[in-house]
Amino acid sequence: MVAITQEIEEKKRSLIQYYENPQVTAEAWKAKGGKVVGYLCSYVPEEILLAAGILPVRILGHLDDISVASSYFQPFVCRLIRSTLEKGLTKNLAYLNGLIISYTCDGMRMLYDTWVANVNTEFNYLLDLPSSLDRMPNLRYFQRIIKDFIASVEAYTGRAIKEEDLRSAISIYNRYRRLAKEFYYLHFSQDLPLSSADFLKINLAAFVAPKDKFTDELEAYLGLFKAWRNSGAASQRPKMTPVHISGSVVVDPVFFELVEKVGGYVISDDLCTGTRYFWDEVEEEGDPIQALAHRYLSRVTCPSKYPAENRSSFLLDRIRESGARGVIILGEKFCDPHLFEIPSVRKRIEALGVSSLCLETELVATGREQLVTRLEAFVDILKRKEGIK
Amino acid sequence: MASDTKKIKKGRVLQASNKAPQILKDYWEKLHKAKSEGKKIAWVSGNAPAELLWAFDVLPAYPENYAAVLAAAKLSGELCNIAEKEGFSRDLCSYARTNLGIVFGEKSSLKDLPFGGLPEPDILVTTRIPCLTQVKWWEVIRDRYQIPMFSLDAPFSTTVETSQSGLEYVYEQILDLIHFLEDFTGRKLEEEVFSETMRLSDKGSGLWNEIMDLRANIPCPVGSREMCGNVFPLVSCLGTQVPVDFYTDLRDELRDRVDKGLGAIENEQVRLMLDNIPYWHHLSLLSDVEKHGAVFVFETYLRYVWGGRINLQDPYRSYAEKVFTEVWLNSGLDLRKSMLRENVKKYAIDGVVFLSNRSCKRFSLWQLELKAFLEKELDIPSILIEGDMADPGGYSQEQATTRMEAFLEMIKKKKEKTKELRGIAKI
Repeated sequence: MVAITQEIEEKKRSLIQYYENPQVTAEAWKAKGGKVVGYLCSYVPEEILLAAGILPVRILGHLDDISVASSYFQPFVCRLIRSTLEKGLTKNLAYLNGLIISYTCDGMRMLYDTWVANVNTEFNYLLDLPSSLDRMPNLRYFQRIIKDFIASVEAYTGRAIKEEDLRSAISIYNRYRRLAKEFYYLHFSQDLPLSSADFLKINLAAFVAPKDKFTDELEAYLGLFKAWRNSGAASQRPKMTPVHISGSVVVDPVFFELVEKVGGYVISDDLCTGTRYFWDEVEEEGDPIQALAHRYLSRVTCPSKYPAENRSSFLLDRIRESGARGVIILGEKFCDPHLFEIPSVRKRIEALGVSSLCLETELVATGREQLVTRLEAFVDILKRKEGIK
Repeated sequence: MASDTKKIKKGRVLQASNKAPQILKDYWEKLHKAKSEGKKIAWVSGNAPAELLWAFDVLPAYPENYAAVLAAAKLSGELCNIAEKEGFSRDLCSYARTNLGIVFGEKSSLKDLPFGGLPEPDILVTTRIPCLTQVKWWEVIRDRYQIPMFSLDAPFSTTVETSQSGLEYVYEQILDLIHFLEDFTGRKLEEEVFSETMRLSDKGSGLWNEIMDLRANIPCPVGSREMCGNVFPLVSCLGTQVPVDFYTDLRDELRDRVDKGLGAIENEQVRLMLDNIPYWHHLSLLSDVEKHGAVFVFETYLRYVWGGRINLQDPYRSYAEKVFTEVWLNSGLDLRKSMLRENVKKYAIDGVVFLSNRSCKRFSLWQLELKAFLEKELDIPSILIEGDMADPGGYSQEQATTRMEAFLEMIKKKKEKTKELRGIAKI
């Protein structure tokens, strides 16, 4: 028992290390002759990069002060954009050989030109995505964009991407997605020796680690959980109130700790850094380029896309499935696409009989003390509704 | 001449401008009348291909333009509050919040709106060309009214030459929009009507460009505030006879003024450029400078948001090209720099006023970079004035005026110094 608990702890440490030291992983990759390219959005088909021998590293934004970037962008654009620019301008992302920015929202599109003009990375790429996905010309354009992307990556590395490499990359990513989903479902039962904050960190680690190695480790980790459960060692801790987190990029483990502190359990999510990233797989039969285009087009949408039905029905499904009693909506400041959807999403959630709380965030929930009070009050309402208290 | 001047409204220099308020009134009356007769109304974003709607006899209504009217009448603040109560963040675009205040507001609270309010839409046509906000805002409207919506998508223009991939994409969507409108109206697009619409659109835009060009003359024959009041027919009626007639008169009058050497102000000392959507709630910001010998002679908002020529030999493709190119908001950073360079020279600009408008990321986010570019590469001073186009909250006209005056003083001194240096060089 003790041995297995210890082993679980060690595996967890190892997984979280990727999250804590992305640069170490990147440097190791480069030392072996590979290239490392940053990206900002889950619409970037990473499979293509991996097939070209490039390590994709997702830039998750940071919570430090923003100073240099203030001379480039006014404060009314989201923190992910401003903090990424800050990191670029202050040479904190110098370990990257390049950066891929996709045209999702206006701020991201504009960040691209500012980045190219002011930060020295050798491979910059604008993935010029369509914003609408409901008509035939949008779909045809998307396919052209994927093909152009492949051609540019090939031009950068100086070698063609072989079909077998692309197939292998797709299968590596699919395997990761299946395990990430399994992990997500495993933690529904609240009996794992794992905090919500660490659960988040492991999910974030997947963005910066080499996918095959990470997936191997994740598989071993999940294997230990299963063994642990089979040994009859169910967690003794009392069940907490399950809540769903809705939002985009969430990178602040402290927020998850606070939710737990007030008696909540982050059970499900529809985050861009959570389920929306790993949910959909790529078809492994047939033409791989077609399959990739199909996957990224039909995946759970980002609020920057039109129409939004796909995301809102996904979100409601996750809430129903997890049995979350309440939903915490993290409204990222200046994220126009999200902010436009919040009122209607809230109505749909409330129609399920589930309460919701909307918080203003800047990658991190702002006003910490007030935040604890609000979270406490919210979880309290949920408990009372349940008649637990 | 003296009796002529009397007819011109205070603050205006052109007689033709007197017709603008009537055109605006007629337009909204026409829309309400059409609605009551069972005709279809489309709510349309700026830069959406409205000519096609006119060709299908679907009447385009512009919530953005209407929001600007409300802001100028100081009525937008209350509507923004309604939208906020509905859950829409204060950080969202104030045009959108003003409109959503109407969409979600109680009917009784809206009865006193100008021009009888906005007629409800039957169909929605939007586009990402000016911004993604249009698309997401229109989606909220679509959910509210449960009506068909079409969103025209486009990449940014990054070079003077049109990207073929982007052109192909927009062209395919224009054809698709025609199908969409055929399905909606139940009838085919008539080629003849389409050609005539394109011809009128091109003519209206051509006249507008001529007017903008005439303002490059020294002294500049008409200032910014008056021209902001004259842009409406271009925004809403391209493809009809209305802008053609209106801008023909305007152009002729401007030509006449230029021939006579008449300027918007008597002693023009400083020529200014304006960037961004005007702060409609305090338009005097644009005319107050005239007391100090300065005049706004060029605006990115007036020159590069609407208009654009169409090659009538190849109308579909050319229409697609005009829709997404030569649009400031849809232009990349380098392209904006080159457009600035060109117009600073052409209009003999002494200084640039950037309105840092928190409602409009597309207009605002590169301003700091453009400011540095102007100073470093073109030796043109500029200032940034913070505010919001339709939400007056947090904006101080007093502060803006003080800063503007200091800016004008600085420009005058700089010009004086240049003159002196030139004098020395001659000796």
